[in-house]
Amino acid sequence: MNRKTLIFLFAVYLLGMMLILPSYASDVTPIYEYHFVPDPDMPEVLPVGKTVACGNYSIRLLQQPVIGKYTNKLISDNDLEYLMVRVEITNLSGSALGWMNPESFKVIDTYKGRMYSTYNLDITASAATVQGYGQKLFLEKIEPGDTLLTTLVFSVYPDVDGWVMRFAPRLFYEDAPQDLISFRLPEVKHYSEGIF
Amino acid sequence: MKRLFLIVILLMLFGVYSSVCASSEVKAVYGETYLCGDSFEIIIQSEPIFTTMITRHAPWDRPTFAQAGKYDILFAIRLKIRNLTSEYWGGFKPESFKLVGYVRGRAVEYTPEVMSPYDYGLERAYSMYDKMHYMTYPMAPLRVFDMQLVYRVNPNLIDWELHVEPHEKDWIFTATEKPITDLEPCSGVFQFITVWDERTLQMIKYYR
Repeated sequence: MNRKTLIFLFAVYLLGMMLILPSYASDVTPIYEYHFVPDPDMPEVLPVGKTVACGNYSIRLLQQPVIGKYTNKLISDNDLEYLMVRVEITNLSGSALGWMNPESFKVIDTYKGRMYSTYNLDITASAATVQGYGQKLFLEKIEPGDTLLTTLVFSVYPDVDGWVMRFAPRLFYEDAPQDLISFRLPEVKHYSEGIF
Repeated sequence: MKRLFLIVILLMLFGVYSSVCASSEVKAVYGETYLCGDSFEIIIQSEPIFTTMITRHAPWDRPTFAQAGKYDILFAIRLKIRNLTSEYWGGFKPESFKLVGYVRGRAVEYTPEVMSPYDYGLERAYSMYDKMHYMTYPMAPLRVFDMQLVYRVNPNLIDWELHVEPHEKDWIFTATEKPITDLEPCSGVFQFITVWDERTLQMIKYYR
């Protein structure tokens, strides 16, 4: 075996090692060193007090959303907590509108710039909350130009970065939503003790 | 001369490459959050322990669920894992968490004997391999499982490592409207530098 062959074999061995090694390499990074690429479709934050129009309605956040556990142990879920969003909905159309479909309101949880699961409105918890605050439920009729002050409650998994709210107003007798807007909720206030 | 130069360059490249690969093997810092690929988040909450018996306090179960034999010992790890994929996981196969110990440079692999929730206050959130734990609940996206992994091992081994490579146990389906498809799968190695020995109440250190 001459020198040339030896060098060639050695080079092949080195290249082979380089190809084999990655399959054994660990792929673990401390989270603070990792650069997360945010979802390009991630919507902007809707600040408290700012109004946005959608279909025949406009919606405005009245205060910082709140998250906390249901204090009643019999019906509380071990994992889920209640996300409460206090909103003002205005009827922009020329006629009275009632019976908004609960499907009009949804939230999506976000983590490290990505959107994950969608949660529907918790109608029972929303009804209990508005009753406690002396507000009206989202189903109520709104006269033209009038506003409805209500609280929307969602049962969500709490250990996430934030939530995106999707507002697609649709009445019960309508086949499709009038329009769709998505916005990120501002920073949520956590209540360590129960909220109800 | 040219050839010699080429060999030196190749050797240097190899050195740099292998050192990069070696450094991606993580010496586990307890309580630190790690990303495994970018599909799972992993925290090793505290030092693993060598112990002779592990008990649980769930009212519906037997009080003891793992006991060391005459020639073996239990190695228990508390591990938190968060699902960053957009899919529901019906539980993990035991091969997802392999413990590796070394003796005279030879590696010995173990699969967990018990995979159970660490905190039984959250018992509903688990559906994992556990011969005495029958409840089923899938791991939704972003959920954190706080698990206790128990291995029956040879006490003479050293330089323990945990090899994590999640494999789903039962079924899997996409839970989100917009599936996240560009995730790196998780395949990570955590090296343990210290292990708490409950028999002697001493910390065992490994210098690697």
